[in-house]
Amino acid sequence: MSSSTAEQVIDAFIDVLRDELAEGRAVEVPSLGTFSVEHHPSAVEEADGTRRLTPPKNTVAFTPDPE
Amino acid sequence: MPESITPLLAERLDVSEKRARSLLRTLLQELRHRAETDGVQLPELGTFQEQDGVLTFEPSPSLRRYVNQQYEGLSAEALTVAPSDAAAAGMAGADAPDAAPSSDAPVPAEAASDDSDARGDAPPTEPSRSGAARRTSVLVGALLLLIALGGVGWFVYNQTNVLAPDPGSTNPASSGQTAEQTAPPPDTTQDETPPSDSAAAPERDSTYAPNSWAIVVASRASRAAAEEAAERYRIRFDTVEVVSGTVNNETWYRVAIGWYDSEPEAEQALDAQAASLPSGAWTHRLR
Repeated sequence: MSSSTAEQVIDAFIDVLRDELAEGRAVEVPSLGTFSVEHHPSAVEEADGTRRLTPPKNTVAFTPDPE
Repeated sequence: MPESITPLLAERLDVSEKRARSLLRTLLQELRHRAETDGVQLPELGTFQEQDGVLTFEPSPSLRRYVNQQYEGLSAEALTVAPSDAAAAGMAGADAPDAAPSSDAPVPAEAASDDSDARGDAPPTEPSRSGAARRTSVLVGALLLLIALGGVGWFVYNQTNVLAPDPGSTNPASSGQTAEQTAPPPDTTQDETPPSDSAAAPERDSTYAPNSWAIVVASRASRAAAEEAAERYRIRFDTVEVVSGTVNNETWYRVAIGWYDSEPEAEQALDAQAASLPSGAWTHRLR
């Protein structure tokens, strides 16, 4: 790869992963692993006697390729 | 089922899948090599690191926010409802990942800003200032509502005069008794504490009757005495009349100043001219 091509590939790699994960879709990268998004719904938590309803959130998970 | 990145990358780079696979292989070889040594950080994606033969990935704050765009600005909300209701609310928020934010979100807060933000996975979890602002706005709203209600009440009071004292009760001598029971002896004083002829008075619930209300400044048992009193008021007022009425089968002669279309009008005139009228003057419907 030329340097410019390497930069384009890295940018494309990052962009594809970000966009797919933002849509909630899992992406498999051969010989590396699988990226996915886990959804955590809002929940009631209690701390210091105060009950709070926490907002939902998504977290990124990565499962390495076992090779 | 996860989707392979190869065709996506090929489409993004506008190259064949074979070419994309080749480029990806080269990229990943370099990535894994660096991950084994110092770790490698891809901007706006995260950091790869291999520890004890296991490749790990730590998403960047930018990526964390990116996958939480739909929940951006939400914050934890303190609950004041009963525990069972709160649990139900929590269950109600257990939605699918693609659910609308409004169904999940307790409350909107400030939006996320830059990539250097070192927050965790979650959107802001502190009780937001917007919560306090909302409480403040509720208090202000309630205050404005009270003021508005007070204004309406004041308006209604002034327009209807529903709480105005009974005309007959303005007679100072009638406290605790009816005006008829406390009728003074005729011609005994210059001050006016006359009785009201309730028997002859029209219905009080109809306060509007053109030129029927007057300010009564004196009441005498004889017309002559009433006319004498009236003369004194004719110096200061244009319309002064002596009007007769019967109370307990006894005729009284009242000195009336007016006339007014309604009780409120008469009361207003009484207040405005209080300095020129005896303290016992009162409004009464005489026609």
